[in-house]
Amino acid sequence: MARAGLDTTNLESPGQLLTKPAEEEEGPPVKTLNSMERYRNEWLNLLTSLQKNSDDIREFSFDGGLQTSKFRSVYWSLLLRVLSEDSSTWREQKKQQRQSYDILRKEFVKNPHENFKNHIQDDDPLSQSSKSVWNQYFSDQELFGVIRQDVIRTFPGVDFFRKPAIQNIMSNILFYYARDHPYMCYRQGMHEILAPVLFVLYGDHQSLLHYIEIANNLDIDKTLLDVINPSFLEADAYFLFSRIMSCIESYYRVCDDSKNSNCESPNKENGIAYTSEAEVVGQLNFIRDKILAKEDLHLHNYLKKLDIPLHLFGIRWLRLLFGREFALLDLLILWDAIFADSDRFDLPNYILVAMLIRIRHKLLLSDYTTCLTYLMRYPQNVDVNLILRHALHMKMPKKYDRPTNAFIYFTMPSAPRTQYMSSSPKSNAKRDIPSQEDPGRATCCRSLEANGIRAMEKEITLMQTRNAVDDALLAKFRSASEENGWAMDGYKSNVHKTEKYIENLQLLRLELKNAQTVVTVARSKLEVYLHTLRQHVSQPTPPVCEALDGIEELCKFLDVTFIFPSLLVSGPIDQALEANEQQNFQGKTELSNKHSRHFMPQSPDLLSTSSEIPRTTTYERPDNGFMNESSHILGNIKEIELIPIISGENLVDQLDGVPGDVISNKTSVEKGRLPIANPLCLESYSKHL
Amino acid sequence: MSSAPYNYNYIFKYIIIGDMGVGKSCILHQFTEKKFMANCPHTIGVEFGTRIIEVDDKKIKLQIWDTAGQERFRAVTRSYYRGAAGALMVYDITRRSTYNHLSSWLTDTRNLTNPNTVIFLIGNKSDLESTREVTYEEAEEFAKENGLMFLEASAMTGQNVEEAFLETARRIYQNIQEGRLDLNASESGVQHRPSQPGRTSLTNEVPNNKDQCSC
Repeated sequence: MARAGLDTTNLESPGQLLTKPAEEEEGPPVKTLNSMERYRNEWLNLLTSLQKNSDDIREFSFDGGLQTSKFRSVYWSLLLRVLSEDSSTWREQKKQQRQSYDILRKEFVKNPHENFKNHIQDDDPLSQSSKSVWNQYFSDQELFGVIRQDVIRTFPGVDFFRKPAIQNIMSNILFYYARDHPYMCYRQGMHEILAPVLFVLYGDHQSLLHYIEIANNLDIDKTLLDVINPSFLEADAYFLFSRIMSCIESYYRVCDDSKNSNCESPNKENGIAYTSEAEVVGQLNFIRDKILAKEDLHLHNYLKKLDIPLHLFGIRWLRLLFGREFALLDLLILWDAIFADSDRFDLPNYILVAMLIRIRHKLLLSDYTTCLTYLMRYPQNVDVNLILRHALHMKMPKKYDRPTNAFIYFTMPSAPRTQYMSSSPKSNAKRDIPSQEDPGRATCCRSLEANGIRAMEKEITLMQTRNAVDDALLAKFRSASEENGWAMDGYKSNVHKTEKYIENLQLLRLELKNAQTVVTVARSKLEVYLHTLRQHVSQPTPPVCEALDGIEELCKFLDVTFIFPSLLVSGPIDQALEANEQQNFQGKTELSNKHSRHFMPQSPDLLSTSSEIPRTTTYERPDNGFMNESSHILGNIKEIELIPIISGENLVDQLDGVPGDVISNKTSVEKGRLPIANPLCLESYSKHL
Repeated sequence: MSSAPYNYNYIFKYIIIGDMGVGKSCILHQFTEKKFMANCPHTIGVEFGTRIIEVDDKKIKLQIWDTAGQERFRAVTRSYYRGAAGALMVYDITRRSTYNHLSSWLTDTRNLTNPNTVIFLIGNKSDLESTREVTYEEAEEFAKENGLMFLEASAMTGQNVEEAFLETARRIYQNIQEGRLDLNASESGVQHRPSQPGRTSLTNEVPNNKDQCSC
């Protein structure tokens, strides 16, 4: 039956649809025709792509295809398996769901004032019996009050959620869900999962109503009318919501004994049970140890050092599926992908890490308090598409390329290094327990180590070649800029007063790249030396141990990923380009991807692209003076870090503008902190280069 | 900002606790931003705020943890208590149930913090006099019995909010002066900052003038 409706009305009558409304409508005919046509076509496309290959819709969702879709709720239903892929059964499924929701309502709303027939004999309003309808009634009232309190505070900035009708629907859904899932009950945060679902459904309903209006006399696909039926907003939202909740139950679940009493009355006096650990904390630890440590060890170590566990902010990020961290429309883009990914909801783990890495340069520069502030109030100017691309890349590296500007630091040296690291896993393990060398292991390590060293040598040669090329470029560049007085006056005049020392962006970039290579080489070499030392010193005395630990610390310390100096000039350039901002932001990812390539150091044509520089503002712009400043400081510190390593010959000259006390303060402290490792590092490095 | 010493002498850690919807986040917001946040979304997990205040010519940085009311059964919450120098325990004067739960909040606090933690009782929403369900006198009595400091305050008008935070800080500072707090113990909730940065490196706290306004 449903099949028939689908085939006849939709697939066989496109001509009808195309011509009739144009004659009937008096308004702007072309426009109405187009929007109608698009609406109808999108529906047909959805159905046909389901018939052909149902995986297509997942791809479509990953690629942000749902952003403009008028059927997002249908896609979500499909992705979450609330609806099956066979569209001919949709009407029947919807019917069943809506009926079962009605049953749910009847079951859980027991009003003792009306419901005399089912009365237990000796029931009265003061009864404490669990079977008492009165007792249940009061408990319901309490739960409803708690839900209500949260619902009215949903998304304060979005008017949609101020409508009393919407608030009532939300309260109902949450109430029935809590009663239908007594082991979950209602927990704060659930309503912010429900809210976007409702928002999307409502939007789709409005689109359909609009379509019905402009297609007035035409036959409209009955399946469509039935699946997107505005009169069942509550029931349909309930099923989407409970499906999502079943996937993220673990974020909310606690396994303590008090949960039942807590459910009946969230404010209950007794029942304090601190024996349990929320499951979400375990998951966050997993994310930290398995994903963050792998993707960004430096950040991982830093957060650990500051003693900031992920659960401080991560509980909220996960429980609300990032609802507080992004604007609603951006959030939907994330959710499209999360739902499309899998029922296990793995993607949020990667999104969380991508979000951390995205603001790593802010975090790495901040003290405890500032770090927490960034994490508790995630910066608003972050591009959600970048986060998503990066998360997808981390999860499925073969399928999704790393977005070009996901990190602003180099990825070049990492390949040989990881090869080396993975070829000698023992050396990794040993880092954790330095002085407990197992002789049996040592032999097996040695052969591995040989491989490692060979890989190292290769890497170093590679880097030296690169370095040589860069040196040549640098020299050429310097002479060019001296001759011409460097034709960047337009740019220069906009440069902030405090930024005088950035004489030239390109120059600085090359310098920094040099320095980066140098640090990487030093780090790799140190790692090998450390490895060798640990193997050959069988019973290290305390001072030797200390020295080795010092080297190890230095290794970790040198594991610095570099942030490109583009950040340094973002301030002044922003000022210069305010007029173009709008334009730049419309193109979002594509545009920023394209431009950021100019920052990648591979191509020599870097030198000839000075006119391109101002356009690089398509980077995420600092949203206030503080961030702006922090990125300047970042530049300073990164450079300062390099000074003790390259003996300060070259770089210091370039850093005339940096306040001297910062340098001296910094270097002396570093030296003070790592007294043993420092000379070793300098020698081994300078010998090599 | 480079070579300036820390712009504060001490860091005190505070926690704000109490039932759902008593206005914990609003009190925090009123204190740090001096603004009332109508319709503030409820707290999931924990929120965080800072402000630098002055006691006895000493600059004190308050590091304030605002916990979610519904989170009290969670093991996670316990870690927020650890090392708190001050605890602001909030109830809503217009909802008696929130007052009735105070004794269990107090038990939690006593069990999970150190004996010197200063506990301050705040009866919030004092602007809603017409719907009051808890009298000032009985709350005062409760505070006296349990050795708590007490004020009625309003996050809406800002009345007494400042005072509650400052009074707590004064009491903590007094404890320090009288040698009752061991500054070297991490659970004291107090960190002392010498006037010159003793240890500055990439990974340790860098004095930051922006703390006051960036949160």
